[in-house]
Amino acid sequence: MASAGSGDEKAAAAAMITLISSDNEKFEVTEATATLSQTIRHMIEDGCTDGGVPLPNVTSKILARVIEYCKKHATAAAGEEGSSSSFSDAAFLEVDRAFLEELEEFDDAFLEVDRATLFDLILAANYLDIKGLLNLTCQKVADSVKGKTPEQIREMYNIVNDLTPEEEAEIRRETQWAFE
Amino acid sequence: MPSLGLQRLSSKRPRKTSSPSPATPDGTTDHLTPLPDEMVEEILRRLPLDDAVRTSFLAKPWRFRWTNCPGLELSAQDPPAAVDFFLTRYGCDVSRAHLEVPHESLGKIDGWIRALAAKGIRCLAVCFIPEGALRLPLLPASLFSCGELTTLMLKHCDIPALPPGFDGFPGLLELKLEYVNFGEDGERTFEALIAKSPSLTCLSILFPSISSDDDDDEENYNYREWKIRAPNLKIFKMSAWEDYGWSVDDLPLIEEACVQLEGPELSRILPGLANVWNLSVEIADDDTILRRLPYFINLKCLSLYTFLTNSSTVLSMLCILSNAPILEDLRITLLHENEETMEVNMDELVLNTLGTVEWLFSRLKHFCLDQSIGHRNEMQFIELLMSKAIVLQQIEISVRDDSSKSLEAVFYELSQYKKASSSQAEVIVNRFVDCYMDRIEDDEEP
Repeated sequence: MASAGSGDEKAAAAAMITLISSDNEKFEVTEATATLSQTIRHMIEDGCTDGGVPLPNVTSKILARVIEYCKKHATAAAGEEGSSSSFSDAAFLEVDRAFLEELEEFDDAFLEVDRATLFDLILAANYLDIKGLLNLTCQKVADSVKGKTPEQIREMYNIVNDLTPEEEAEIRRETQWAFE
Repeated sequence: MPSLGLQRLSSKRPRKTSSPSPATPDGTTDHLTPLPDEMVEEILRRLPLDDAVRTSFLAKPWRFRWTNCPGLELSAQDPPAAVDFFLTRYGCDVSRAHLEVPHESLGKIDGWIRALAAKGIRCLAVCFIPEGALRLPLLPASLFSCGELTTLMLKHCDIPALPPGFDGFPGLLELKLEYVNFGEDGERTFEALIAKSPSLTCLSILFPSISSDDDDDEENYNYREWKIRAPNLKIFKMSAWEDYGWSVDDLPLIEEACVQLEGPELSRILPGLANVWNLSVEIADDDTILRRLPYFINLKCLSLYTFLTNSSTVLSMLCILSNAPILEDLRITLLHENEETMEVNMDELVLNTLGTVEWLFSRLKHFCLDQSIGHRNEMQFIELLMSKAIVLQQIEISVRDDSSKSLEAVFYELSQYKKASSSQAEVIVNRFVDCYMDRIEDDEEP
């Protein structure tokens, strides 16, 4: 009896994963949240998560944000699975649409961060292999660059122009069409 | 207890504890340039080509970054100068390209296609921009060297004869031909192009032509009979002004078809589509009556574009309906061109053609009549349908502005008909105003 009980406890505990940031802060998350990261998913599959998953490339500040994103999107993924069997039902479609809108609002608000944080999120999304987050953050940078002149982009991202005047002239000659 | 696991794990990963970006909150740090290539590429791929190329201007490390970024594409917005530059400088394979070819770039298209073939192009659209009444430009035969194509769209061009030794497009899944002409021996080229693309699942042919310079007398030209052979086709669309001698070989996997033909060839095309689930077809030819049709054993959803004022088209329509035993959704859009309002005795036609077809409308759940004018033939047809459709759930009529009948009058007439369905079908009568519909219920609201 007692052994069966401890087995159940083990199963319940196994559904939670501990993530450890570079500054040694611990975060308890559900497996569903953690496995939005392919990197962590593979660790779980390999059985390497006992005692927590150290993430030496991610600070606690960034990890907290990443977990916030994963929690929201893990719920979304679970919702999609649950309703997929009745996708033809108009009521379910309505619920799905409302949920997708909410998710979009969440994403927009999530991206309201300073530039340093945005780039840390890109690096974390890449390291943890979270496709949705990488897509979201890279799109944000791409949108900020779209239609801008090189001067504007340099100023926006503090890029130092080290091209020689000759190089600049050569590039400009070749890519004249891109400035029309 | 956990220390062991932790250690083992840590040794797997590079020990890098410093934060990846220097902590200088003063806003002078360049975060973008030191970003690893993978992530810069994620960003570059999300930019239009001109924006991506303009990054070469930012600083030295950026000069050639875009040229090594996999996954960049040519879009319809990229001008010929951009295509030239891109194809010369770009170092990676190109999977997608949409080329818009203006008249002044005709000399370049062969080189572009050769370059794309060398870069393993998979999805290609070549759209020539028509220039007045000039004859269609000839597509360069180099196209047939793009052996890795999965999607191909050609628009406004003359298709050359297939080169000898052409191996076909073994991986081509989707082929769209819009306003293309097949020149000399065009039927054979057309037939071979489709037959040599055995993986095709989606074929769309919009208003093609077959004519060579030698055809002086196009009016009386007799097209050789030929077949569309595509054993894996699931989606098929064809629209044409003329009968080019084609027919369709059995399409065992066909799911969706949309057919709009002016000539009498419909009776040769439909038999190949016997397995279709979703069919949209125009029946406007009043010289031919569609008899000897196959049973459409999978057909659940049918859209017809036709006249109800002509006994031949009505007969053709009834022939299709009587061969669709599991039809659930029927939408009829009435055509109103060249209209002679001929009274058709619907009951008599039904009796003569259908006799004792018991399953007529027996599974029908939804019926929709678009562009109705409330003509007697239309009302008779609806009456017939309502008297047979035992599981009908909804019937929707949209009445044209120029109908002499008010929505209320049509609604009243419908309510008088005997309904076969035990549970009362919902009846909706709309005003048809092009794409915008006013619901009768909405009219009553303040």
